[in-house]
Amino acid sequence: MNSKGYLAIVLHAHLPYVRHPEHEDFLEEDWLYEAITETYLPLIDVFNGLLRDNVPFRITLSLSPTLISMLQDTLLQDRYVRCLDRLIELTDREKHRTQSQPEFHQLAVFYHDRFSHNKEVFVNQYKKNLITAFAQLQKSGAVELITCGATHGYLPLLESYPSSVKAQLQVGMDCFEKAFGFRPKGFWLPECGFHPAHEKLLHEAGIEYTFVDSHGILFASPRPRYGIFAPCYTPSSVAVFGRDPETSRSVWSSKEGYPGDPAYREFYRDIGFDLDYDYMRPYINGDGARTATGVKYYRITGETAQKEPYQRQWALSRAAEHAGNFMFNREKQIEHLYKKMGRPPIIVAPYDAELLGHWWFEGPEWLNFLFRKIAYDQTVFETITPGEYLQKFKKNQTLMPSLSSWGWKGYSEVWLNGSNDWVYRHLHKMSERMNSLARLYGDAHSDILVRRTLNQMARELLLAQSSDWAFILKTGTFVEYARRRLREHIGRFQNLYEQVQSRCIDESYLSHLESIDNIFSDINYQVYAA
Amino acid sequence: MFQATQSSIHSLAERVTVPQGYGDHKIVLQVRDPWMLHAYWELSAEVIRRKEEELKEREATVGKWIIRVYEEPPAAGRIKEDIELNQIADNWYFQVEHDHTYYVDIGIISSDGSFHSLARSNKVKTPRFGMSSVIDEQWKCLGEEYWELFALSGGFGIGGSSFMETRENFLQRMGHTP
Repeated sequence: MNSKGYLAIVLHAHLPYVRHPEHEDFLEEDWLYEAITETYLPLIDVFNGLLRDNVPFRITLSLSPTLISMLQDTLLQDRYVRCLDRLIELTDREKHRTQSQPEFHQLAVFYHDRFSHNKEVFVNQYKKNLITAFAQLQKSGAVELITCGATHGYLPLLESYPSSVKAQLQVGMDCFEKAFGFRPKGFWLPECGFHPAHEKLLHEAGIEYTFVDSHGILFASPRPRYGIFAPCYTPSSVAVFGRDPETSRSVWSSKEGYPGDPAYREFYRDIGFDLDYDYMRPYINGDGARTATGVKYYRITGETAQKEPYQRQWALSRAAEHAGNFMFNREKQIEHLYKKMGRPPIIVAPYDAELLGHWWFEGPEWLNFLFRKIAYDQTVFETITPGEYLQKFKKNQTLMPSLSSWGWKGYSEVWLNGSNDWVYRHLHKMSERMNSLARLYGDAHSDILVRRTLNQMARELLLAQSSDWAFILKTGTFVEYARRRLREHIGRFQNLYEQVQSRCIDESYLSHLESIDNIFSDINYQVYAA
Repeated sequence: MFQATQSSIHSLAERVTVPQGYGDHKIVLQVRDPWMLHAYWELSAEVIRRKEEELKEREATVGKWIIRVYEEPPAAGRIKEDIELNQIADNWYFQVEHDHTYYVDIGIISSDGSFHSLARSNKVKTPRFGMSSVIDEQWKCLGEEYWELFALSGGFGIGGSSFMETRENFLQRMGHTP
């Protein structure tokens, strides 16, 4: 196919590290289970279906190191199976309860089949480890896996602490390599947060390409020749792709975007809230509070409280129409740009992976229709990964992108405002201390207890740096949990620091922390010595 | 050299607290966006006491606490403004210009009108909000062309993307608020 341009869809899959072995049931662990059920397994199904049918497609999938670590964790894997068992049992009961209500009964059957299928795929096909699934997809050549900062730390607010930036990059890349056996070419900057001071560090971490928001390129210097429709190289030769806002809007926006269609599944109406409490009690949170189950019987319907039953086939036909509309708009966009630029443009469309499936239930099906339509219903453009594009088009402009993020107003306000600014004095101090200790206790230092302590301090620092906590403090949902996590990681770091300073390490406490904050088991604190 | 001890895990775990301070004497500046900086500080009571004594010897007192903002360009060390602080603040946001370099002093204006710096911050540079005037000859892009691609690149909606709104909705939905 002689393409006039390319579309690079990038899905960024990330959840903060949430693992609470000290509790039998823990509400926030559900974030992972819901994302596996509604996003990761459906996406894996879509990609495998496309490969099975020999549909040519390309997609880039960013897996955050915290997500990779949780997907590999046996405790969380087993708990997810327990979660699926509960859902299978619940929907089995629902099949009986709804027998006299055909519009709900067929949905109960749909969910029961879906959860049973999820269990079959998760347990039998992938032996509870979805890393295997993603590794197989990478091998197919259609899916390019990349990663991001170790714990999704927002890098522009670590401007004065290059050792912390380096650790976020290096530990993230190492975690990915350990899971998949190779170092990724691409790197998703958490929250698309780019600071010019970090481009050299990106290069030093072995990163070949990354992404910035549109103004990161538009305000770059020298002036970009092709706007965001061609990648650029930073002075250290890291390729940078700019996010296309037009493609984003149609999927992200709840007002203008596809996900608000009346035919699509309504998120808020969940039987966890709708049905009798005693009936639901075995399937909701351990503390007895009602929670969502993922079993939802209604469609968005419109701006009304009176919701109509969900009709799966109708929703799927709308997803197909929306895929057609998205493809048509890209054809027009690419044809226009091709004429303007005189070279094939690349449209980079990044989305949070969890929005497809979890938020927009029909999102994975939309993607499925989209790839099939692009392959067979048009000839203007192809899908591509950034890595492939760089192979085809090696000559690109060199410039320095501007400080930018994809947050509200385009900079750091989401992560730095009156609700969360107190965090930075601690994160910065911890970075400073980690750097000093890493220098003081050089690599040759033989005391295993000190090494273990410093490694655990590095874990606590990284976990405290997750951009998720500042984001949650800003948005006001789950605030107590975010505060708790910050307090724990900052406090544990402080305790360990005092022990190192007093040369009196409490080994049982250290072992306890190693068992609960167990991410990055083979981390080496020396990464902070830079 | 290092001793392993065996204290109670639980008693120590219960002492997980966020430090009130670190015994530092410093002010740190960070960029929020092209038009806003954030400063936070921790000042040593001992340094403040010594400064007050010094003033007393000169028969002066603390008039007010300020952040003195230095801006470049037009010239290194040019004072942009003094921002008066209330006594209990330990951080402050203040407006600046895009594409400029800044640092600040936190200090005292004494009763005799002189300024006494107690700590100086790091330097930061705000990003340029707009097109670069630097043109690469090999990748020449004139103003008109730039603005056309700027518009096609969504430049006129910068920062107003619906991403955050959607992500907030998403998080609230994760919160299962019916």
